[in-house]
Amino acid sequence: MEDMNLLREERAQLFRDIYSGKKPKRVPVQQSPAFEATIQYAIDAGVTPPGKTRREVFWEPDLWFDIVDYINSQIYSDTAIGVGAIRLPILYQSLGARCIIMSESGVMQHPEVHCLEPEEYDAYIADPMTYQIEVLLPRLYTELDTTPGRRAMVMAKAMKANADHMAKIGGMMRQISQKYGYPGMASGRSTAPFDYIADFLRGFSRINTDMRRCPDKLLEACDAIIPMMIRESLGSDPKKLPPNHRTFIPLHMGSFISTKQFERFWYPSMKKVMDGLVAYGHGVDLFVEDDWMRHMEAMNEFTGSIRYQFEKGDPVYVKKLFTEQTPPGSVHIITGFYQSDMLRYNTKEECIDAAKKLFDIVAADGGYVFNFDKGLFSLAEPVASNLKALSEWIRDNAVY
Amino acid sequence: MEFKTKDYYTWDEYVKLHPEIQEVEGAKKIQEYEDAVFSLMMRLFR
Repeated sequence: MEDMNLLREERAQLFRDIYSGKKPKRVPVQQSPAFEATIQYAIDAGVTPPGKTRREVFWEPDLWFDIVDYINSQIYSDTAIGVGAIRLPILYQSLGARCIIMSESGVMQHPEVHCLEPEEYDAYIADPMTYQIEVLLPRLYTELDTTPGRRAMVMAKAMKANADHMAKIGGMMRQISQKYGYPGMASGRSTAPFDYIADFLRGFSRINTDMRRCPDKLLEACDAIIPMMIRESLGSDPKKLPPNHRTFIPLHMGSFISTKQFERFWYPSMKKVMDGLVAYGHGVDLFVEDDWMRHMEAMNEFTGSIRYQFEKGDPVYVKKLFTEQTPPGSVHIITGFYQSDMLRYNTKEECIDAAKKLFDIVAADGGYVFNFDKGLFSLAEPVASNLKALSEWIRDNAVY
Repeated sequence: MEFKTKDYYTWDEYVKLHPEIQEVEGAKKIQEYEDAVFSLMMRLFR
């Protein structure tokens, strides 16, 4: 137990150093495979009861401890490997979701939907949260399209199911962290205002139309939801949050819009959200999905302790930009850039060589946390063997 | 940044309507439940 406490403290120190701009003892390793991949990995290893499918396991939280325990026993990481950004089927099924649906193979999917019409922008802007709850929720969640009394019952049922499952996950992760010596990580969630409107409210195709047909309304809507985006992560009393609280934000639309559109529609409201999220000294972890290189000068203007996980792009350019132009007093950290496909098509030696090349660029003087370009979606061989060898090599050799 | 909506109460706003529990420490947990529901409402749109 004492060894585990020492290991936990060593790992916590790695992240404290990284997030405060100091060079850590070694490159920290953070693994975040999709829960779908973790479940299948455990099924294939015979960890789950015979005959259980991934689809069934998603509904049975009593099976999750053994599954999560198994992956943590097999793959090296400096942070707990958990359920990821899980979409609970019990929550979405209870509500009759149109926007999140489980496939037959047990993958939670997001079809293109929308619930806000362009002529409703004014009403939405006047009180976004109330409009979402009163008008838009029943359009996305069919079980809520009913009488007020039944709607309250359905929502109470869904809230209870969600809370029970989340409590189970919380207890499970505390046990896992204790068993393997992982540090505690406090995190919240938020979204870029433009992405929030693009995701479920207007949808991918309609938001592109809105930028041309009703640009001012779209901009007003982005501004109107800034306080909601900050409140979601920091809650009602940010001063009470632990100092290591960090907000995770996956970024969606930047790679699909031009620089001009980015500067007009995406960036201004997001900058205000970012300023709000770091106002009490907390950090932000951005998942920069796809390729945002043409927007990186603006993205580098975010202040505070900001970690960027890159899926695609030019690590040489980003490292130079962060080294030379990060705002004074701020810390910009790189993670990602390691292509997960490497594990599928290459030998262990080739996977390690790719890490060496990447580390020479991004990790030479600190400022880098190892993770993949995105969450691994399959651990089918040779991925798991390569992942194991690569992670252990980084732990033992990527030392300053 | 100020957050105003008719469908969300902070504790400070709530106790103005229910001053009889203002000094009851445990009653402040109401804010945690309000925030938990708020988070769920936000999540249902992303």
